[in-house]
Amino acid sequence: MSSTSSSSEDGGGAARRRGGDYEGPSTSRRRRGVNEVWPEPFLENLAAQVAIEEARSGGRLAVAPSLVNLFLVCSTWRNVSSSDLLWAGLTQRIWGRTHRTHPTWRDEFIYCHRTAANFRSRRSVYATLHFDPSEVNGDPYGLICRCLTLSELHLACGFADGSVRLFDLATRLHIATYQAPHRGGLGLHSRAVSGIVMSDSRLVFATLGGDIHVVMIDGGAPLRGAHVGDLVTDGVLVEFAGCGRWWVGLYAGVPGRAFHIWDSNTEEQVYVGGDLTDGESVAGWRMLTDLTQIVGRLRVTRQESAVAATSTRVLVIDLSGHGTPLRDLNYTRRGLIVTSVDADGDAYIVVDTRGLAVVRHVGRREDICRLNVRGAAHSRVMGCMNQGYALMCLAGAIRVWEVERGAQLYDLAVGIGEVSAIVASERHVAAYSNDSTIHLWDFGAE
Amino acid sequence: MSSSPPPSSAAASPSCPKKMIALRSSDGETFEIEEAAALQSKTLENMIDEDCAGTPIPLPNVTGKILAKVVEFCSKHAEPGVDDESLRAWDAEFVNVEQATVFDYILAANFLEIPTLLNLTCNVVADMIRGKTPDEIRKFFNIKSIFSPEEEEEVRRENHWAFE
Repeated sequence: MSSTSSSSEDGGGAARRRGGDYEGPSTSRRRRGVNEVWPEPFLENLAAQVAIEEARSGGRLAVAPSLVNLFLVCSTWRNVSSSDLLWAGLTQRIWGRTHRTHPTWRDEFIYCHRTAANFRSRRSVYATLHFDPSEVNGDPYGLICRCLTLSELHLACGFADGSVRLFDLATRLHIATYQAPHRGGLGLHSRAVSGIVMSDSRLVFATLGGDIHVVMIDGGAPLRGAHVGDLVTDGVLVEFAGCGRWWVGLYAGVPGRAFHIWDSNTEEQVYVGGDLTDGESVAGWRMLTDLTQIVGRLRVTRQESAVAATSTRVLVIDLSGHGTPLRDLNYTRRGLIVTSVDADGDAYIVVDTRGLAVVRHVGRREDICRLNVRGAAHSRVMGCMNQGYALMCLAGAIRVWEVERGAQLYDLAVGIGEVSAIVASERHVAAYSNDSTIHLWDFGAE
Repeated sequence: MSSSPPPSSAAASPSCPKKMIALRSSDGETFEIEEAAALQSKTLENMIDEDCAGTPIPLPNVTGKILAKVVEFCSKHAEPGVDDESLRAWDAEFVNVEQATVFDYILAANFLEIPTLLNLTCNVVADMIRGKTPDEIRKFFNIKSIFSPEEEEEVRRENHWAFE
């Protein structure tokens, strides 16, 4: 390594940086027009850096004002706001969106910001969704909703009679019903839906009996079976979840087979194992005759991991690592409210039986925030979350907290009765109350 | 019995001299930098790839004073075996300079496309402007604002969504 110079001048490293107060250039230097100096790639980098730091310290909604602060400095700094590359990077980094649904990435960022601001300010459009009750054919289990799933375009409701009803979020109309074929099997409720995985084009759902069905929402392919359940060998499929690449099932009833993981592209099973539900075997089998049994909860994160919980334990497993445990937390002493558990992005939430809720980062051993869910010790709690907000439904009310600050914000709803399922995305919240009402709140900026 | 140096030896040897690149500053100073260090710069990397690095590479946008520091920076960052913590400490000292010198670093890093130096100077400037209003930032950097009141109002109007 060498750096030789034809001059003996020192690079000036001994000079100290003067910060804080205004300091113009020394009088011996030409007082240049600084407006023309700042290179745009640098300013883009600076804007991104400022945004990321502000998101960390002040929260996602503080990013936009900090950026405008930069744009107001001068015309050169303002020009950075026209860089769609900058907005693309910020939208992904701050809001977790990698695809664009608006004309420009700047528009996408603004939409995300406004939607999150609507969430914080309780600005939403409320509606109830309806389907033809004659579809149920008098079967009471056709009105017992077991799970809800949201995509960008649809809401899917899974029922105890094996049906999944699909609603278009833009029109709020019921557009399809998919029915798991009844092939007999153990117990009254082997056909009950235990979970739904949905993208904009494909819907996958599973039943307690372990059957998995796939249908293309755009009508490209009819409902077909992807996996035939085997209750005797595997136990009851109590929860089913997935992300782009993986399907994962939480089973109870046969020791050592708590988790089944499938590659969603090939539909091949790649892992079976785990002891999370070994202590819940009896309760698992009871689900086939008693839908009020709650054995466990399973959710998938953005990091290709799954969060699974029973009343005494939380386990985070690596899906790409075929079930490798990442974190194992014991709740034997305090007890966990299984129906409070949810995950979104890189975080998950759990509430213990004393009402203490913790939001944790999946990949790091740190708590993001702690919340106090008053009344949780005495009421049934149904929980869900999106990246910025946690929602808990108890005693007929849906309470909303801001996750970044752990602050309780407002009651989204009161007096809606007991809720059997609730789900949130970055734009929508949906809940199914036991009077068979499907509630939908739309916080979208449009 | 003779032995030849291991092929991956970091030390220069007569049989395996390190390739040096010559750079010429705007004020005529010439600097030599190891090729490995020069590759920190995408601009220089392109020139090396296109075999244009045989004669001193003119850098009309960079003075000798700053080029010396840039060479020092690139050499340090190409040094094998430096742990992250030591490098961070070294970087902190490297940018502990006058504001005007930081600007020169930014211009050089931009011209030479050195991502590590750009990121480092970006962090420095982000620290400088944290908590400052636009007017305070202008005064701090001696930026002559050319916004008329109407233009400033336009900027606020097109970004009102950020404050709703």
